[in-house]
Amino acid sequence: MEILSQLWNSILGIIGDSAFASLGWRNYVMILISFVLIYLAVKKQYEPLVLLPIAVGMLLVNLCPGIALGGSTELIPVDEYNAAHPGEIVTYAKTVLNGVTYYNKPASGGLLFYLYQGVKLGIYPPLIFLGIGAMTDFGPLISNPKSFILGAAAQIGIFITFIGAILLGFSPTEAGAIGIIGGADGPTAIYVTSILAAELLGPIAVAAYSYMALVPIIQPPIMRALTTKKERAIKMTQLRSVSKLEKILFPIIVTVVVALLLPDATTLIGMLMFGNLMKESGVVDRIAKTAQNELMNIITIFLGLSVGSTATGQVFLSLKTIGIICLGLFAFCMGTACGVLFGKIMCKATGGKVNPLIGSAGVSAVPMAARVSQKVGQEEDPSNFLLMHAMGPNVAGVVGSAVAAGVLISILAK
Amino acid sequence: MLENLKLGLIILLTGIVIVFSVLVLLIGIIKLYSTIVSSVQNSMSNKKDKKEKNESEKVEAAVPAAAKAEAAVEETKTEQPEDDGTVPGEIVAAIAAAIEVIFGEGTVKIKSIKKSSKRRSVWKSAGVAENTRSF
Repeated sequence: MEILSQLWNSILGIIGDSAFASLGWRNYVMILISFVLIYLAVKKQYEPLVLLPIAVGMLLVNLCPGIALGGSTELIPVDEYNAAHPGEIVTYAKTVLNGVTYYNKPASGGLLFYLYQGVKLGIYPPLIFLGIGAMTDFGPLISNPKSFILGAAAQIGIFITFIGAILLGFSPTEAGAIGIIGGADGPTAIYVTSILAAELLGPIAVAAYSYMALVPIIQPPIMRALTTKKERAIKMTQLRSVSKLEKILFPIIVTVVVALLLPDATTLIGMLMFGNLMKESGVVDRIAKTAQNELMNIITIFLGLSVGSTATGQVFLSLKTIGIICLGLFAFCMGTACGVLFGKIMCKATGGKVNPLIGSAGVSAVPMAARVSQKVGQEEDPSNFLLMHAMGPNVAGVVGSAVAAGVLISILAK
Repeated sequence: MLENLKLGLIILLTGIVIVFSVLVLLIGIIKLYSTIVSSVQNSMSNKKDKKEKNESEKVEAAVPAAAKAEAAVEETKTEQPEDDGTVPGEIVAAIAAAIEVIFGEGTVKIKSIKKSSKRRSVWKSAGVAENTRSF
């Protein structure tokens, strides 16, 4: 009889500890959302390298919230502990409360809590930038430096959205984190959000990566609406070839100039340009390849899982998330529109030598945004090849969004 | 709210001004160093071209066409000293003929022939002698 009663108690204990007893409806909704994201990543291949780890992180944290909880300290009365563990040499720190001495017994946190420290401390996004730098060819930008104007123009969306977010009632730091979605640069968005509004990391990361995946759907209608048929058919002259020395000097010069002018952008730009220097110097092939592949892949897994783990039901299922998703889309559209409009200005200024479609590539999203410029251009004239011309503003957009991030951090984080 | 809106306007203007200033500055710097680098590289390549041209003129002076080489060698029959930097006519003719045989007549133009600075080690020479001696 006693055995049966103990069995029953054990079963009740397991049921009491199970997720069924502790999860709320929000967690179940988030589990369903994570399934949708897994479907989009696997079936539709929307940024699967990032979306899949984010979705799995989201799934795990909503199934078992403890996986993202930090370590804790349990206070156990010394007498009680010694009675339970006779003969044990105890090394725990002691605390005296109301005349009773307690051991401070530490309990470790969940896996995702420790992985999240890389986001919280701002380690993962710069390392992703290192890998991006090691993969990026800045040649098109060096051969046509005016592309920087388009890379800067596409960042205007960030600052316009900032005002939009303020009007919707977000705090200035939250508005800064939301605005950076318009930069269309996942690591930059995560970096800025982790500094300015860490509690919004989940919704902002999901919005940023979703819109980056949707670039081929979001951008073309805006591009067509703002340009004429004649402008879209403009053929641009071939870019000059860039020497190896110019490519080696570029990352060094950009790092020095940006770091001197805007110290808050040094982390992102410094890592981006270090990666590029490794690639262009050609003397450290082994570590350049590691930065491009193994390191980038490992950090992507850690970043995705830990960002997904911030999307708990309590945080994600709120009106703020809907506001963030709407404002993110607005930022993205504004960035694209400003890029195209500046492309038109450059077209007029150069007497029709610049195709305004390359302006939309000024939002980062490398190389997707440049491919969209190429595709829309070829719809008008199949013999028109804009890809390399669009790569200039595209990589300038990466530098531009890092500079914009530096501006937001320097003003809002203090 | 009004204060936040004011901050928003400040950030909008500051952001646009700083992002554009930094990137426009980068345009100027990139253009400047591109000009400097390309002019330096042009002058260096000009010097190199000149040097190559001089060398090829030297060799051309020493190297008659492969077809004429043998005749020229027979005519002169004078031994040229090996240390004056030029390659003896017989050797030039032999190399030119060998190259013509391998690559086909008239397909290759020899610009220069230089002596290899590497000399065979004693052991290598012994090996070559061992393998090439007559039976």
